[in-house]
Amino acid sequence: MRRPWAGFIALSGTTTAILLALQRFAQDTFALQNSPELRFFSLRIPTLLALPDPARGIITTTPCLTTLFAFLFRDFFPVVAGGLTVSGGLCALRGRKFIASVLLFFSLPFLALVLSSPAFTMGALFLAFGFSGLQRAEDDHTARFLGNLALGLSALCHPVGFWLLPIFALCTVLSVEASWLRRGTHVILALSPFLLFGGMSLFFGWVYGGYPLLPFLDPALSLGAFLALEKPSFALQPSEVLLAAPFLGALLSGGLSQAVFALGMLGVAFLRPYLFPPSGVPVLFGLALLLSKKDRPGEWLVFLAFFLLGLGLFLARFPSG
Amino acid sequence: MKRKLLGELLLERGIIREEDLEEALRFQKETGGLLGEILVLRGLVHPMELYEVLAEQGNLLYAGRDLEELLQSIDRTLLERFDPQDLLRFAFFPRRLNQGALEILTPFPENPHRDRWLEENFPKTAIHMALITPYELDWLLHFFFKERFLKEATAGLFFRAPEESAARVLVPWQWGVLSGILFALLFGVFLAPQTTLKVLFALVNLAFFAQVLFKLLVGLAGSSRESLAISKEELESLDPRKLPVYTVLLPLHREPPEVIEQLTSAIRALDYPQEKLDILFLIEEDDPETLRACKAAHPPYNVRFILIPRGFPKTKPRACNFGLAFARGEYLTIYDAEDIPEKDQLKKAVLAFRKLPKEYVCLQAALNFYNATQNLLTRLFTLEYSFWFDYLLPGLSRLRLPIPLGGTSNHFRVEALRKLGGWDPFNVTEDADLGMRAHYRGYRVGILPSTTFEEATSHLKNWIRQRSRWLKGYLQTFLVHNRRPLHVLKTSGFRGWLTLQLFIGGTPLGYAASVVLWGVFFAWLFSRGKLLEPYFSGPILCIGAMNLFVGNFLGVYFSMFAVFRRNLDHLLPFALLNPLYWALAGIAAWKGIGQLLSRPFFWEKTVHGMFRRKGP
Repeated sequence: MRRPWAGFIALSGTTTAILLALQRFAQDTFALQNSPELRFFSLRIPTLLALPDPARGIITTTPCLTTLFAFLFRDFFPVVAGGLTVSGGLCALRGRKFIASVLLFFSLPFLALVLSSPAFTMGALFLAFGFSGLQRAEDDHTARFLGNLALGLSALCHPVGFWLLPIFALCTVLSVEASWLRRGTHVILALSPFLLFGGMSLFFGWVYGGYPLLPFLDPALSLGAFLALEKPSFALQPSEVLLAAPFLGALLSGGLSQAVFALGMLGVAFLRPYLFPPSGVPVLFGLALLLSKKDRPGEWLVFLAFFLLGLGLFLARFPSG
Repeated sequence: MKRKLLGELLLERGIIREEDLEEALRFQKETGGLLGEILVLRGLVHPMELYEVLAEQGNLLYAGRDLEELLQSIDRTLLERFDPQDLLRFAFFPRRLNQGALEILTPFPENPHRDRWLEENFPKTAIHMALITPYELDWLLHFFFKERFLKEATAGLFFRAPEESAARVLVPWQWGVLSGILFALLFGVFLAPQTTLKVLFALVNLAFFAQVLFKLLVGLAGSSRESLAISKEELESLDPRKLPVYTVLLPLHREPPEVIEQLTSAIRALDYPQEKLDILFLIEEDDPETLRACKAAHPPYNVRFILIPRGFPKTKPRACNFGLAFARGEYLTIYDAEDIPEKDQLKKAVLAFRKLPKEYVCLQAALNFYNATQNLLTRLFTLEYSFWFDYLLPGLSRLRLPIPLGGTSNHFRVEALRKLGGWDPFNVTEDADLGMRAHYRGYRVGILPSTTFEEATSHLKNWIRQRSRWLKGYLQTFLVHNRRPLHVLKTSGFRGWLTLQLFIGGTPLGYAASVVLWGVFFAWLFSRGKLLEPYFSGPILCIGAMNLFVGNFLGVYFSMFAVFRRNLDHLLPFALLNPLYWALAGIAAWKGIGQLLSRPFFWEKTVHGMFRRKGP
């Protein structure tokens, strides 16, 4: 594409139009009114507006970037976030199985996910880009840099990534064939953006509120804290199974890696009401490992261990019934 | 009668041994050089002895035996008919007109280009030749033409393109705009202080934000793989006989003897045929200590000492311009006295120039330090340089944006450099200015995948001196090229214009502003946001927060990546101290701004050799 910006704008416009139509006419199908994430933002915005300086409220909320989006775009936040995420994702994947990517991103489950959990979608996609970048990073410094930054940005979008931090650090240490100094460098480079961006609201929370962890403990200030209180339901809607059909297209036309990615996203889509603690996110990490060219048993072991731990914590927190 | 060979004559006279001759002949076969040059460069023959023998061989006269007599024999009125550049280009010196014949002095009796030129300019005139060594030719040129060379070196650019010269700091309309801004600010502070400060903070934060974005994009572009890769095989396949003459300019000023020794070793270590290296030590006339140290170091015979006459401004670019007049190479590079370039850098440059289109007139090699771990300052300096030369400059090149050249290791096509008018002697970052000028004149600068190692300034005072000069020079460059903003827009587009504002102007102004902003930040922090509440709220607070976290972080993070790429992992934690380093740069920026107003052309000399002196 000779003019990537023009392509990006056209793509964003199209996606936004589709999302807008879906938001208007298919609210009930996607049960948007039940989305805990949307509820969080809809509760948070009036609080912010009531503050003498809403900007101060935004920077002390976790996650602050999506809160800013929600503040700026209000009801259209899912549409705008979705438009940017989908078009950004497609631009990032251009030239690599583009048709399959289009099928994937424009599939109804994915769009439903975007509309019901825009912050999670943005965060998860940044995480996915982060992992994918790191998988290609061995001799590509741009991929490594962007991958690490994407991981960092995910912290500004959704608290989902905090859970992933130790997994990622350990896997990185285990997967690099280098001295311990070099391994440590990899870890520092990978985690620095995440820690710093994630620490932003803590810092401002400390300056303005005097207590840095306040956003994480107060459900009104943290999406993570808010979601942790949500009562989950494992019931699977039949319509959601039907919505999986477009993934078959992606699966058939995109090859193995695309298929795995598609299935992963499908899993994420099905789990969308219960994504904190994030059972779905390790799936993304697992996908990145699967897509990796190298056989990395160490990484796999750590990944599986943390996945089980996460699942255990998840189930322990939300006992069935 | 068959003419005797040079080697035979030298053997006959007992000047060289047979085995030396054999070795030199073998070397000549490999490199295609002249036997005489090879013998001189290896220190086997003194140049005067060689030219005595050459004169005998060619049945000519050697005129360099008595320099006093030679000087008196020169017809000064005849010299007025010659341009010294032609004399340098064709390597001869007119002596006198004798009974209708033109007598010339030359180190190279067989030179068809010169003969053709003489035929065209002195038709039907017999030419008589006498020999002199290349050193004597330089000496004569220097003796008779130094005033002309000096005038060209000092005022050449100013007279040809005054709008591109930093001889004037501000042109009248710039004075007007600057005064207008200052008056508006004063009035604003007097009449509506809160609004004025709010607007000021907003503008500064927006400018910072724009700079952060710009550096992010450039850094990202620079982080991708090298576009101009030169393989080992390509280097090995270079035919030494086909390598061009390469001029190396070495401006030296008050350099300690150990630095000169190191420099001499670095020259000898260069992987380039020595007879094709044209090395010029540029030494100020009023610096006899450096001259003595240079002589004591016994550099190879391809080194020529060019004495730079006293004059104003006493700057490195003036010395380089003076040296450029004497350059014989097709390509030219500049090194500082303490530089240690990678051995194959010149070969890489030749290959790169051959690969790239003609519009590429300059290649910038990366700079880094050999004393990175000497102390905290050198560590932080290394972090900064690694980012600057491994990310930012390659990024600018990849995005086809103007590149401010770094202080040394810039390689030029000599012809293009002369067309550009050389360096601006009034600009204290003449290299950065030259890079911008080249771009705005339609040329391009590339990045050479090679590194020169330098000595990082390890003393804070010395560092501030050096940095204040650099930042003052960036401001000079910013002001010079902003004299014609429409011209900049026309020649390099919006992106080129933006580079001038955000990168050239943004660097010193950003550092200067950052000192103030850090002060504001701490005031805000210690009052828990209360003190500056009216100024930092709403969008300004969001942008300020973004600048504080993302902007500063990106600066730190890029330097982490840069040392990671160079496998200098042990420096990584020091990147966290970058804000301290930037605060120092802020102090230097204010010093630079002060000097721009008080002593714009003053060259703050960086002291070299501190590392070696302290070493074992």
